[in-house]
Amino acid sequence: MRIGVDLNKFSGLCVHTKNVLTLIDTPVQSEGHKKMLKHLDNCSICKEEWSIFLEKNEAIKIYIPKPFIAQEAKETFESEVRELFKIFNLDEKEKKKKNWINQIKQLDAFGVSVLETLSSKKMLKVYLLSAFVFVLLKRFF
Amino acid sequence: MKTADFEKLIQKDSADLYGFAYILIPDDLQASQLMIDSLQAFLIQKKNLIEKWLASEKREDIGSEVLIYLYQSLFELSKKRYHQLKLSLMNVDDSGGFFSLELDEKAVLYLKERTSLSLESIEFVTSKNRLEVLNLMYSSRMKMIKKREEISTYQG
Repeated sequence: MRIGVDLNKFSGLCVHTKNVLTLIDTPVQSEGHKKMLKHLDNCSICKEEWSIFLEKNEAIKIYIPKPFIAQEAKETFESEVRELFKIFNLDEKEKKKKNWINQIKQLDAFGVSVLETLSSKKMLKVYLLSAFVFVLLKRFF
Repeated sequence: MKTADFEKLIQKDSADLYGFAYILIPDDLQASQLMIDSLQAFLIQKKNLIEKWLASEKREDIGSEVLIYLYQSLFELSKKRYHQLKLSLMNVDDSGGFFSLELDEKAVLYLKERTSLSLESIEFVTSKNRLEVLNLMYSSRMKMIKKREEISTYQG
C-alpha cells in the first residue's frame, strides 16, 4: 500500500510512517526530528515511503501558487497606508502639529490661571496689606 | 524609528501580504481589500506595540516582526470572510488541488513553502500549536498528492 493509494491507512506498514513523513516540516534541530531520523535509518518500510513521498511532494510544489501584486493594487495599498497613518495619528507632521496645538493650549491655560490667581480676593488682601506696610515704612524711614 | 520609515516598512510588505491574501481569498479585489482591512485592524489592535516599535532604535528586527503581525491580522480576517465568499470563489484554476484545500491548510502550506517564516511564526500567525500545524501541513500535502494522482489517472 503506497502513499496516494490510501492516505489514511498505514496499517500493514509501520506505525511511524505518518510521523516520518512530517520530517519534511519539523525543524532539523528539534527532538522529534532527530528521533524520526533515527527511526528512518532503521526502518526499510518508512525509508521506502519517505523516498516516494519526497518525489511526489516535489511534484506538487509547483502547484502552490505565488501570486504577484499588480502595480495598481500596490499603489492603492501604499496610499491607503499613508491615509491610515494620518487617521491613526501616526503621521509625523500631523503629530508635530497636534503637539504644537497642545502646547499652546497648555500655555494658554497656564496664563489664564495666573491671571485668575492675581485677581483673586486673597491676592487683593495681600496687595492692600503690602501697600499699608509700604506706606508705614515710608513714613518712619 | 521614524514614522515615515515605519510607513515605508509596511508599504514594502505589500507583495508578501497580497500573496497571502490571494491564496486565502482568491479574488483580486477581495484580496486587496483584505490587505487594507487587516492593516486597519492591526493599527487599532496593536497601537501600543506600534508606539513601542516607533520608540525603538532596532530597525531590522522590527521589519519581520511587523510582517508576522500583519499576516496574523490578515489570516484572522480572512477566516470571517472566507465562508461568506466561498461560493463566489469557485472559478479559480485549481489543477494542482491547492485551492480546494481548507483555509487553514492553504495558510500553513503557503507560509511554509512560499515564505521564509519559521514554524514558530506559522504557529503564531495561525494561532495553532505545533502539533496542529504539522498535522495541517501533512494533510494538505497528502490531499494535493492525491488530487494530482487522480488527475493523472484520469488523463492517463
